[in-house]
Amino acid sequence: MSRPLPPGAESWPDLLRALPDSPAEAVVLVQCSPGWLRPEATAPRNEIDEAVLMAQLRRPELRIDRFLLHSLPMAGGQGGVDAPTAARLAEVHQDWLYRISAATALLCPEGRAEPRVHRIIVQGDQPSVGIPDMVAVREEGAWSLPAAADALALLDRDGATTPLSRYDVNLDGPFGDADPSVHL
Amino acid sequence: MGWGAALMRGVAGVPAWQRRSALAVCALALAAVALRVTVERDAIVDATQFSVAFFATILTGEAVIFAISFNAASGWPSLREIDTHIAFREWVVIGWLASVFTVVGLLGGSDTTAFYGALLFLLADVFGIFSFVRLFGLASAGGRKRLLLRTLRRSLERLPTEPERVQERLRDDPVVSAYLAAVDQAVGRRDTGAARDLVDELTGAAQGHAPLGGAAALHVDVIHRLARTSLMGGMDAVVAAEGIESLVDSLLTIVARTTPAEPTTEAELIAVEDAAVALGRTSRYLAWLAGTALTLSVRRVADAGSARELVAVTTRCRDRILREVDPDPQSAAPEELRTPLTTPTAVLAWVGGFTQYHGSHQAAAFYPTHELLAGRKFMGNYWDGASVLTALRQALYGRDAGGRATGPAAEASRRAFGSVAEFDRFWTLASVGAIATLRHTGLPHPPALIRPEFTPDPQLLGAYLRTFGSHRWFSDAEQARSLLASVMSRKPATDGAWGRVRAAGLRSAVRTPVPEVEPHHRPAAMVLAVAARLAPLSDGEPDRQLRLFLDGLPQPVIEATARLAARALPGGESGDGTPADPRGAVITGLQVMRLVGNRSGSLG
Repeated sequence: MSRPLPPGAESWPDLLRALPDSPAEAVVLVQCSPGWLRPEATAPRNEIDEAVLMAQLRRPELRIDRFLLHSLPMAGGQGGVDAPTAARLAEVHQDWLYRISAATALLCPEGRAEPRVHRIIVQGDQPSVGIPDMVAVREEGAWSLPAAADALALLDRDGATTPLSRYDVNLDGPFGDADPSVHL
Repeated sequence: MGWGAALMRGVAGVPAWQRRSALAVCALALAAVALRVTVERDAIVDATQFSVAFFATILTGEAVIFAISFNAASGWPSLREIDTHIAFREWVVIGWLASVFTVVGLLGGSDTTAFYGALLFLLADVFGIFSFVRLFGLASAGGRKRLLLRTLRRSLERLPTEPERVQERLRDDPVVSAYLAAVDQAVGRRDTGAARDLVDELTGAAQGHAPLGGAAALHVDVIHRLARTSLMGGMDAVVAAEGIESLVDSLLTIVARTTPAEPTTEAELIAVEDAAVALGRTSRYLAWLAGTALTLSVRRVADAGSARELVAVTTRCRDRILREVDPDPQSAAPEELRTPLTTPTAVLAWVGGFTQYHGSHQAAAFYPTHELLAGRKFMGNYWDGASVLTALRQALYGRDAGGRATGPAAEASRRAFGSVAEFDRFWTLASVGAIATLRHTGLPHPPALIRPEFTPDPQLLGAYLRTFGSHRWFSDAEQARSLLASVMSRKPATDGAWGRVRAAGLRSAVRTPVPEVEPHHRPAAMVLAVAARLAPLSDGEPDRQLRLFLDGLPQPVIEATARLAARALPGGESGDGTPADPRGAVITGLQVMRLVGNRSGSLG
């Protein structure tokens, strides 16, 4: 669980922010290491999320495929973390997915370009997804990292991923805001 | 009689274990007497007969008083508390020992043993009188009240100081559970006298050395029980309002007692933040209560009289909390020139709660906020359109270094926010909660429920919204979109201002039935909070950038925002459905800010 972020991850936000002015045709972003859920990873995670969204808004034709975990493999105390830590990580993970989904719902009109977020389904005891965390950029048909093709191959495998939808985002907010007397 | 009463008071203050030790010493001393003194058997028998008769008399007396004064089903006071108070068990045990020694002595032919038994009977009789007088004291309402106050105080003082452990202990504490059950019984029976006594017991108990967390949590809990029962017609609202006011006053006294003027240690800093959260949550609860009283009155669920009393008490109490927090309130007495909020996190935790649910005096709350964070007063007037948050931004991060506030308060605030970007983000997030919880403007507001700062006046609403909406650091739609992306995407850092306020809230033992919702779970309010910072603040100002911003949003988002605007802001279509012209509804709704500082403004 104490695995650090992948080498060079601190430069990812700059790389993603530069996308609107780059000749990139497509981007693959994989963030499946549990290290992304650690408190000290909050800042780079935020930077990356915002940069991805803004890059998409500024360059609608850019194809962005983003891979995240569907659920945590160490949930329930497995994977060498105790139950409270696992619960905390699961909470951070859910919040992360919700924020990505909600930000997309707020800013990307449906049917137009938006980052494609794929959640990789792993078994409870599966230690990792087998694909390294990365930012890979395709320029002139060639990926900057060959592993990007492995990530995209998951999309063709049945049951390997599920898209993140905006279905869970209640744009109105909780019902109690409209009728606070329900809390009586 | 005076010395007797003094003696009883003195004995009353002795803890039970000391009383038991004293009895054991007496029993040993009497054993020594029995060993040294020889008494004839006839005298022992005669003396024992008198003692037993007296023992039985006291026992009968106690039984009669008990039957008249206490309900067997009552847990407040519980049998355990009564026993502890009158030392009933100790007395019976001495009587039992006396009879055993006497009988064994008489049957076994040991005069010394029988004599010891007779002496123990004598001790039982003396102690029995003490027990009887103590029980008689409980037969009166005042006596019971004093006992319950002491019992509750002991229980509150035993609660841990760590806020995280308080809730668990409160749930498990038999005294607190019995007290709350008694509150429920009293309000359920509409027993106004009992309800008043119970409030007095809690406010009295909390003024000892009880730590803030448990006492404050219990205060808020009882406030809610009184308010809820009153709204549902189960309690006289006048009495409930009196109780709520007493409890808020008591809470303020506890806050003043538990917050150091200059916190330095970690524990002191936590105490200040804990107090701030307690005040913020209580303020927020009171604002919610006023809105709920209005809603239920309009729906004829609550009667208008009850709603009127509750609305009145909430505005009074919020005003009192604001005065307590303000380091320099108007017409202040010398003792009021202090504030419990001595750290930036504490100020932010309080004002974040105070500005939700359309609470009264929320624009005025920014005056002490500015003074506490910048270390100097805000000299503008929000009715004239002055922006307190812009002034605070200038004071902390202004480009003109000469105009920047200096001094420890401003330095601490700059450290707490970290950067001007975090300052802007904090207030954007805070405004989401304030906007999301504005009252339904479509609800009729009966004249009977109008109170100062609790009115349907759109100008007042405009002033509240403008407090946040006039905090501006960008001017075009693209920047607004970036801000929206940023506040929704970014999880606030735990060591940032928002993160620290949130952590203080999670740590606090004070809970209210009104859940706290993080801003990212209120997307429509988040859009409106950003849009308010683009909307024109005066007549004639162009709204092109606002329209551009709204035009760039997905249709479901603009519709949800329009539903919120139609509900919370005046001027457009009012109702629960989606307005026919969603963008128009948002733009028209935000025009309410032009009613302030722009006397010719209209909602046209």
